[in-house]
Amino acid sequence: MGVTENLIYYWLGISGITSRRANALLSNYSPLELWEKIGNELTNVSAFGDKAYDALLRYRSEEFLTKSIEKLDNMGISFITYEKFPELLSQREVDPPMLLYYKGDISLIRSNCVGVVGTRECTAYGKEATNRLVTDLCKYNVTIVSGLATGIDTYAHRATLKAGGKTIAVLGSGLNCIAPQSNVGLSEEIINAGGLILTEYLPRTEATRFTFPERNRIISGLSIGVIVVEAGLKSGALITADYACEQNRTLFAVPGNITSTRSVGTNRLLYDGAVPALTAEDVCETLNLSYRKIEKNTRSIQLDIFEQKIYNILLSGEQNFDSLVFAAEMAPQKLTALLSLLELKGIVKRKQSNVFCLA
Amino acid sequence: MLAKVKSFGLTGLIGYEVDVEVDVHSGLPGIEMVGLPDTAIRESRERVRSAIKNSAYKFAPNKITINLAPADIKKEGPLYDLPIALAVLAATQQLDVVKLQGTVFVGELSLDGTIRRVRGILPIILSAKKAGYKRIVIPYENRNETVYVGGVEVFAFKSLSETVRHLSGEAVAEPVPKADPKTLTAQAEYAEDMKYVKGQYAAKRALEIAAAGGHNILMLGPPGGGKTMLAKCLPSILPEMTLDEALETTKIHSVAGCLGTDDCLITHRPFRSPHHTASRIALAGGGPSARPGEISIAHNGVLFMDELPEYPRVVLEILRQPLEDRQITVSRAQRTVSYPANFMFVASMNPCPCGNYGSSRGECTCTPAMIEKYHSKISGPLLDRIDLQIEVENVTYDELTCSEEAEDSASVKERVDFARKIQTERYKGTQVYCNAGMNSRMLNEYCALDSDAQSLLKDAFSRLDLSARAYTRVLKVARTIADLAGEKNISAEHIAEAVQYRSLDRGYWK
Repeated sequence: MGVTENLIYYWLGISGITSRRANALLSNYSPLELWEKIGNELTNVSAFGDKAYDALLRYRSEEFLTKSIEKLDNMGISFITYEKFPELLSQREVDPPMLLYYKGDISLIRSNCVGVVGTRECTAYGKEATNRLVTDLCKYNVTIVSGLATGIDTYAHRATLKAGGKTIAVLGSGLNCIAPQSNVGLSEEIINAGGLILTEYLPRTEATRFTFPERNRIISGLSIGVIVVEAGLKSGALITADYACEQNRTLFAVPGNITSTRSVGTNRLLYDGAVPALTAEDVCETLNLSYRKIEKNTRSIQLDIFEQKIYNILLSGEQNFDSLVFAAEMAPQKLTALLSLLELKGIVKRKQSNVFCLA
Repeated sequence: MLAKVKSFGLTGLIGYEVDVEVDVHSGLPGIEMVGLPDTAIRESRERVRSAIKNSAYKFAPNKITINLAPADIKKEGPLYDLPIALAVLAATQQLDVVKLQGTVFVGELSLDGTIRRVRGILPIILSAKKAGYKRIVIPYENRNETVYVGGVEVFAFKSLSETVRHLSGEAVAEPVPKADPKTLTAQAEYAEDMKYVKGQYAAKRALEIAAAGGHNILMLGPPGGGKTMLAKCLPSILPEMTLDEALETTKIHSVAGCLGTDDCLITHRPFRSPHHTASRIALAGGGPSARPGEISIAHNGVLFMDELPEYPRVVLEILRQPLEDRQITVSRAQRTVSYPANFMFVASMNPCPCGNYGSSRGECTCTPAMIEKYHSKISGPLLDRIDLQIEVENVTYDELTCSEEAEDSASVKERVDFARKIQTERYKGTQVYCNAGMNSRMLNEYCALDSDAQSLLKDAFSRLDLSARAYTRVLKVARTIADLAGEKNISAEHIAEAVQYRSLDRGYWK
């Protein structure tokens, strides 16, 4: 019995050959040809890269590879190889890796994935926008893909977990070197909640400034659409946006204030033709996801005259507490209590700085 | 010949008797001092010698032995100059020893014989009175501290010679007149008043609740929002000090040496705002002589800590115990002293290092990690002791310039007084004096909720992201809100208001 395709891809994956070179070789040779011809017919070192060529020769033994897989197993890490990738990920434009290491539920890569990315230095607005979009997307059974970085990524993962949805974290490091350290806990929560963390890097690879941009192609590669929530002019999220365009994914951007430095990048994307991400419904509709429109809670909630008054005031937009006192002509203590009640009824939402708006 | 004079020393706020014994005998001229004196007392021999000479008395060129009994307590400070000088005069027959008996003397001498002001006169007088003394001689500049202490004759003199003339009967002085304690109330006037605070209705209401229930409060907001001004208004809406409270606070101020010459009694509730560079000792009290710290000086008043996360964590953590026990015990190698520290804790902080997170006025330049780090500087246990957490947003220009005057402190204070009266009645005979101090038994007894309120609270916890530690805080605050409304039972409305004062618990900071 000959060597399996699966093993050959594994062999290619651990050799450290760049995915670009591997994909180029695979367009000319079948995996089995590569396995058999390397070293004799195929001696073109530059097609593999120096180090990778050596490694490939060294690792070219079924026994060695099987042992290596056993070791992975012992670490509790599973892997999936190129031939089992979903169609989206194995597209040529994605420049797919030969091998992905993962922990968690691998079937998620075949679900409807949407990438949610953004700057690490996000603002309160970015956080709120992420929470809002992600929470609603989860209602439509969308899997949220992000990069486990701080800022928007973290909020996207957390919001998914809170909404009871499924999320995939694509790492820029090995599974045993999760960066940033502060998100190790989050990665465990993701796995425990039936999510998935995956990476193309060997388990002990440390994250570098090159690995993060590289993994962005997998975030967009897995997704049918990518939402950029907040991005400054130099944000890494814009790299993901570039990948998304190259890979023909639908690119969404959340509009922001033109005065905010953290929204310059996203607003620029919108100017260049990205789709504005306004609500989860819009996103799903644009992506042609069959979604069941969730009925707004039309069951009329009984409001007394005071509550109605506040509701009417807030219809024109958010207000801070002081202006509400003026507009409603109510004693502060009464207003505070009323706002609590309205909040509990799910009509009003309190934001930072004593600002209230309709939920 | 031997002469004995009574004086007093202080350990913390408690005075103890000191016998100043002087023996003049033949031998080589010189002064020997025994009885564990500190440097200030050791130096007093020079002051005493010059003061006696410059007051036109004779300083005998003999061997003089001075003993401060009891000999096993370390004595400190210059307050024994006067008794030593008088004892020397008596021992050299320039003054009749009998005239010195039954009187307590304290005071520092200057070289020309004038008596200077000393620290801690009020606690000394109160202790002397308790020990059964009827007469006490103090420095003239300290006389105001004594006017509210009845039952003891206080003589205040400007110089050594004046004292001697009085004692020898040449020029008898009158004791310092007493003031009527009833004049105490209605004296307090505060520079800051609620009526000058424009807008900020939510914050003002929260301050009113804090004052009414003695709750600690944390204000969160961008710089320039008026947090400090609001805090400064707080003393003006707190109930008047009682005579006991005033005496207690004055005692601490007297020992700490922060009493002005014209102050007779601290009738304003103290407002202390130590800078964030303050050390642990400065805050808690200590040093070799275990002096009171800021938290004790703020006794019966307000301790305001501006920019809370800027304080080193070790400094913040020392607040935990006094916030619970309402007093602090300072232990040093030489002595262990307890100072009362019953203060309202008021703190303010920015939402993030740059101050603009979540604000509508400016863009925040902080990363989420920075914000998290900033918030984590305040430990959970400290937050647990803060009942009210509110957000203070900048006021708009229109609000600032609006001519309409806000409610003044006096009318807020009326409501506060009303709520406090209910609480005094409720906690009669216990150590607790206001809602903030309720223990779990009282919480069960006085914060029973009807089913409406109960279900609302349950709802609030699940929907508003409140953390578990908020539970008792909300109950206590709701109790105070009910008291302000004059209602016996906590209703759903009170709970609904109380849950809004837990800003930091709400999810949006995490």
